[in-house]
Amino acid sequence: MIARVFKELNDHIEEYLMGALLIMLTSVMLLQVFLRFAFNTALSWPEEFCRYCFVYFAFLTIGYCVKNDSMLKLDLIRNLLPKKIGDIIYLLIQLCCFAFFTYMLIFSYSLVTMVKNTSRTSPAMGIQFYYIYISTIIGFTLAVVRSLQFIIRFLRDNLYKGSRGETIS
Amino acid sequence: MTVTILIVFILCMALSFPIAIAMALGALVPQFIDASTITDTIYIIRTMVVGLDSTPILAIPLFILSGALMSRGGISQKLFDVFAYISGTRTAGLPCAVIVTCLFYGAISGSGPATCAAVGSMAVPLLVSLGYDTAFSAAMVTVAGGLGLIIPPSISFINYALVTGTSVTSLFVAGIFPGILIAIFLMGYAYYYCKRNGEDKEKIAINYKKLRERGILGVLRDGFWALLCPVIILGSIYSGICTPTETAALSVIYALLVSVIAYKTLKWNQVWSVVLEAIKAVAPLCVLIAMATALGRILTLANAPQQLATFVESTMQGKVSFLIILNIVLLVLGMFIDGAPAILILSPLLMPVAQVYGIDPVHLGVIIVVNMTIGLASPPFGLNLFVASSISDVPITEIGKKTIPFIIMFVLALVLITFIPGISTILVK
Repeated sequence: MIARVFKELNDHIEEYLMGALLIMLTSVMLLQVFLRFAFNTALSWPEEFCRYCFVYFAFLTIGYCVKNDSMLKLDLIRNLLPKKIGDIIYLLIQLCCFAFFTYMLIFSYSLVTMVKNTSRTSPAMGIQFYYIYISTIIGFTLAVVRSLQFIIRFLRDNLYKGSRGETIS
Repeated sequence: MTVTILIVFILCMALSFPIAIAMALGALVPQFIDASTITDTIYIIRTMVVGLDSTPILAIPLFILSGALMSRGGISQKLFDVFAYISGTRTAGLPCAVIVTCLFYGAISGSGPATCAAVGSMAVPLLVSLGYDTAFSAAMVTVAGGLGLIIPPSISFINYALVTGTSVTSLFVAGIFPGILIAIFLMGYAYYYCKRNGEDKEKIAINYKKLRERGILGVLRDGFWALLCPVIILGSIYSGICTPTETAALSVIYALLVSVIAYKTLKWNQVWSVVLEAIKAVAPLCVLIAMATALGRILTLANAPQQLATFVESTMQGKVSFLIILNIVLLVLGMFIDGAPAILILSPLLMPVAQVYGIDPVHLGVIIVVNMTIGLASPPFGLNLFVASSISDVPITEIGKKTIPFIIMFVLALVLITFIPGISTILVK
């Protein structure tokens, strides 16, 4: 049971969170429009709420894109160079990305601590500012995990194929 | 400093790093050169958050979500039926109807590839069954799909507005006439092509007869909700009743209601899968925007826009030569790089330069976006080519060849748009 839940989360956690955020964002924005038309009153919190939803949404997309390998790139190396060399460079780039995400994670932790000490609050909803900045920690943590998973999968696939004497793809 | 940042960025990009990561790595450069700089890593991460924390940016996921709903709802077919009815059996009637469908669908969708996919998957098989050349049909939707990015709403315009501080509403309004102009030019070539290569009049007449049997009222009734959508979106933006972000939220609920209740082409239990589809489309863009804001900020602090302005001013005499060079550079760049990263990085750099020559920021936005849209359809890497190729099963190289005359027409329209600012700015208040 726990294993199944864990697998489900591992496969889809970003999708669930992002989907929920996107639906929330849409609904609250609609509420705002509706209130403005119907009662001519513009609340200040819905817009702020939507913006913060999107900040979380956007930081979750990093892990999502790493997992699905869907970040935009030129991909010249693997098209121009021989497969084996291209693959090695590709692996090195993945390792660099992993190092980059780890580096960013460490500094986003410092950033959150720093913002927490200022104890500033948001203008409309009055929530502590560092709650918004926590999105960076969550985002980069997922990115680190996904990037590590990606590298392991890449190595496993290629070593397995390599051991059977097939060309590395 | 500027040069080092750009070298790191371009080098990483050429090494096939994800473009977003290459941007961030470029942004990290200054602190390693100059220890006293305020742009340390914490500052960069903070810039990402601040860049994402904006209201206009919310329109991007919302318009992509409504576009995904519309495409599942089969709205493009309803629009096409109306225009096919009007064009009847005239020469090049159906190809022109496809282009006009792209034009109207562009007022629903904010993305070029999405327009190409939605209209193309419906129109290409139909055109082929009526005797048109497959590669020609695919090439036509490849290029006409770009109208989705020029006719508002447009993700490209939102991206430009985000990094330059221009008003999204002004840009949206400015896109209307250029979009129509381009559509007319594309139809001009479609007419010439059909005149020269002939059409299968018999099959077209049979197809038209089927539409006639439904009657003008039947076709219009079916197309009513689809036709109303551009009216609502353009109307609320142009009249200023709603901000672009609010309009985007309205278009989501409208798309949902039309697809689920009016056309019944989407079931409630399928909505979640459409949400996931929208996430898939918007995710790469979000990462890119976050990192591009950071790099843009770092470049601005390094004084890059001013340096570029001084450099260009000293090397180029006059507005005309600047505009010509600008277009050529953008066209070539657009052939190799995706529109979004190019717009996000170049726009803030180009704006001060353009201001030196007295070019309106809104007009500059239209020029940049039209150039990048051409890149979307042009060989070798244009994303629309891949979309059209997967729809039509025609190899990319073959579609690419047939797109060339359409792209030439597009470039002719671009020349007019570049040198007659009024086409873009006349509606802007």
